[in-house]
Amino acid sequence: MNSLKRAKELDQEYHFMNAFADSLDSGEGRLKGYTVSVKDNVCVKGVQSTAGSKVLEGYVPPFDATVIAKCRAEGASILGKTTQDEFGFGTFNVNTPFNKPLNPHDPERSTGGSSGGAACITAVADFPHLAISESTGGSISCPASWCGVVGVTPTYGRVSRWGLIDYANSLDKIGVMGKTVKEAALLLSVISGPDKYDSTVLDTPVPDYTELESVEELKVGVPKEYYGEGINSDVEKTIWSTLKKLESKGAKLIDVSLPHTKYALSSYYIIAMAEASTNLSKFSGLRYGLQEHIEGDFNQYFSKIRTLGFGDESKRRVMLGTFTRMAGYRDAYYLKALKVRTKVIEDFKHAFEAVDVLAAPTMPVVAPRFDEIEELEPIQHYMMDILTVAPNLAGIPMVSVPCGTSEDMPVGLHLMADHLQEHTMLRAAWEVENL
Amino acid sequence: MAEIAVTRELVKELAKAARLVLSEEETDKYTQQLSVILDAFKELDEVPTDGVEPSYHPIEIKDSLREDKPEKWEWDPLANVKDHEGKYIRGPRIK
Repeated sequence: MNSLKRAKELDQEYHFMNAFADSLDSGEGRLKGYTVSVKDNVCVKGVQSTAGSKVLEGYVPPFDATVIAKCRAEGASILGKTTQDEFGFGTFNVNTPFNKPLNPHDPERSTGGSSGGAACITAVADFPHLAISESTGGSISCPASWCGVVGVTPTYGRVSRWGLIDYANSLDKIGVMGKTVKEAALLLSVISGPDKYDSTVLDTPVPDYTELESVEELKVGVPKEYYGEGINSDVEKTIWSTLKKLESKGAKLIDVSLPHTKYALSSYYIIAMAEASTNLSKFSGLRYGLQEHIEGDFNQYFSKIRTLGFGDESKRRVMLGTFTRMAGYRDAYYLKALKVRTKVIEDFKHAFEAVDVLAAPTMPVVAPRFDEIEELEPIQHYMMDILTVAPNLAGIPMVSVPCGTSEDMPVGLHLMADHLQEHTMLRAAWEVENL
Repeated sequence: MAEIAVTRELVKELAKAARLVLSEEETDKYTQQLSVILDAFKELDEVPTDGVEPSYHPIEIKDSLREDKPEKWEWDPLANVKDHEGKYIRGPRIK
């Protein structure tokens, strides 16, 4: 059976796709034989790309994002678009009018978000498959952890963002998911590196990340702020059991402190919402996606389209982002958040003087049930990201690697490394995978 | 951070600036939610940041320039426009 047909069968059960390609092309190269699914906010030529939003319903990109062109050049078959929270605004993949994926380990629970579809198909695919996903504040790590797959978020600027439907430009990173560290490393090797269409991409040479071997005397930092209060004790127990096994293999565990961790959440949300509110101003119903019969003046028409097209969370973030950039409040909110970000980055830089990687739980709990999510207030949604926002704010690479279970649900170990130290980080993750 | 009272008037002003139309019910809901969220953000006041530079990007971004010469797009920028005449997109009337 071909992978397109099989994926459609699986999608009937798990609802991880928003759109399929009409047919699968393939070719020669490092990704020959692999089917690659793509988060809905990364443009694929000829396949509807909505970023999970009604405001982009019907939008069919006439071009491929750079990462897609790179995958095709290495022989990959592009499957189609995986479901996500609208524009990436969410932690449970429930903030979307389109498909809401079910957790493969328990269909009453969330896959996590925002790259929920990507993690779900990565977990259930029984054919060679890799996923292009994207993280702004934890959207790769969270669903990877809750679905029990490997999710890699690279350094900010490691991978071209050209063809990505932006959420927050200083935070967005396109990354990858796979069943194993080696497979995720393969896709990362393919999509990393310079692009003339994205001036923020770093020109540092790309190593072959699939060359995985043990790191001698690996120094693993254990940041005290990522443990204890607010973290489910059984999840923490699973993490500690993994760290102890790593130690028995020769790794050195070192206590470290990242004192501004507590403030990362507010800093992150202020910056992300400010950038999102400017990015979303382009959705005006004239050039792509939702377009209605034109009547009234510009303001009336734009307001009509945006009111119809944006979901509840998008409206909330656009208004909050508008507020934090407003004259009179800009310095107190937006500028302050950017300064706190500097302190968060300094924390990490200081820690990496003494350790190779930092290790923590990816998420404070296992995947919640949908009925539990319904009870949460918006602020409680945001607080779920407490462990993933700081590394995303600092633009450092991170990987969530499965390391056991709690309540029969997968638990992910989060490894974080200094800017551009993906290779050491992936080697450490490979070591965890092989414990 | 200055003490900020999130009122229905402020929420209406934000919605107008963001080109959104809110129902009365939505205005009430967002007034309550924005108040809780903005109140939580105030914790940043606890961090001393005098003399700290803001990080607009997480890493240093170098200027990247290329030769200023025209390039032909291989794709049609009007491919997704429903209402256009030739290469002109139809928009609402300017009063």
